Amino acid sequence: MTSTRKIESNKKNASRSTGPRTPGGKLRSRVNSRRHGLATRIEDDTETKDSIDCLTEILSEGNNGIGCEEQARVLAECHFEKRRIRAARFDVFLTMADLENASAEDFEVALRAMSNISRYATRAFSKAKRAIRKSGL
Amino acid sequence: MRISPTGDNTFSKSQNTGTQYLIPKGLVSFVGICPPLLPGEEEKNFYVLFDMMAEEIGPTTNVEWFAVADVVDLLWDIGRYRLWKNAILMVSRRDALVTALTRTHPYYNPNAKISLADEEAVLWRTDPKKQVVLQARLDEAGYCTDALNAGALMEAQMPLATIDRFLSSARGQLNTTLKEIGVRREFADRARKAFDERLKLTVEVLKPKQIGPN
Repeated sequence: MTSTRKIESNKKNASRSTGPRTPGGKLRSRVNSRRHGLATRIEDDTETKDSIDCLTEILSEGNNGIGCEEQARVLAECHFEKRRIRAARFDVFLTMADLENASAEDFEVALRAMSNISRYATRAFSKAKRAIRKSGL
Repeated sequence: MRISPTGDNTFSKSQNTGTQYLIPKGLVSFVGICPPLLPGEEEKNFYVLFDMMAEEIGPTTNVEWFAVADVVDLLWDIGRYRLWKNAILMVSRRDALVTALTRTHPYYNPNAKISLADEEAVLWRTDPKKQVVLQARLDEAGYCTDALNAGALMEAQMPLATIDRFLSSARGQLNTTLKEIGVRREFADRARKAFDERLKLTVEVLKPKQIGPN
């Protein structure tokens, strides 16, 4: 149980902290807790949104397409999700580019990072699978 | 060069290999793009792999083209994981050697914080004369090459198992997609066959090396 004195002290210290003030500082602190960015929804990414729209259109048009626009959008999102996962994986691979001088600890850290990423990959593949199933390709 | 069945909605593409195949026009900017490369990797090799898979599987629909791209990406990552496996074995062998040298050192003290074994391990790699002396010391204490390799494998067991899990997960992800496509088409069989063939070839090329003393 936290003591009253400790709580008061925490409050006092917290009131002194004003957080980032400059626009640059605010921008930087926004990503303080960001690790790989895979937990954010791909459709919320403004840079990718146009590409998703474009791919959705391609997938849903013509005889060769999958017909259903909703599922086409899901498939397009999955495609960019996988691309993002691949980029995150690449970052980890890059940290281990010098394999000859890597230590066991380096591998441990890298493998943990890969494990964290791999669950997002499984999720993206499953999502794509459901979209293909629903689209009745 | 294959002829487009529709004639107008396809695009002929050739990437360094001389082979030509048809990617649907709209997908050219989404499929078959070389990923960022690590030091030592070559763009050409990626396109060779992509061409080979596209030729062999022969995708016909947009979704099948995406599946081919997934297959190629997974194979590319599997190649990288295999390099990790080799490197982990080497690192473990190095660590096992340091452990053995530490324990057999004439002034070995389990409570000492500073060890000369790291320095000796470097000498082992760089000085053949010193290596003979150190090997004799290890042999005397029962640390033969097989024992060192066994020790290295024991140390590498966990990371190797993790990588095997990744490899198996990659295969699982591929199956997940192919299963859905394969419900109505024989495409999945072709893709799976091509994937397995390619994997077999890579395994033959990258035969596991016997860990040597160096």
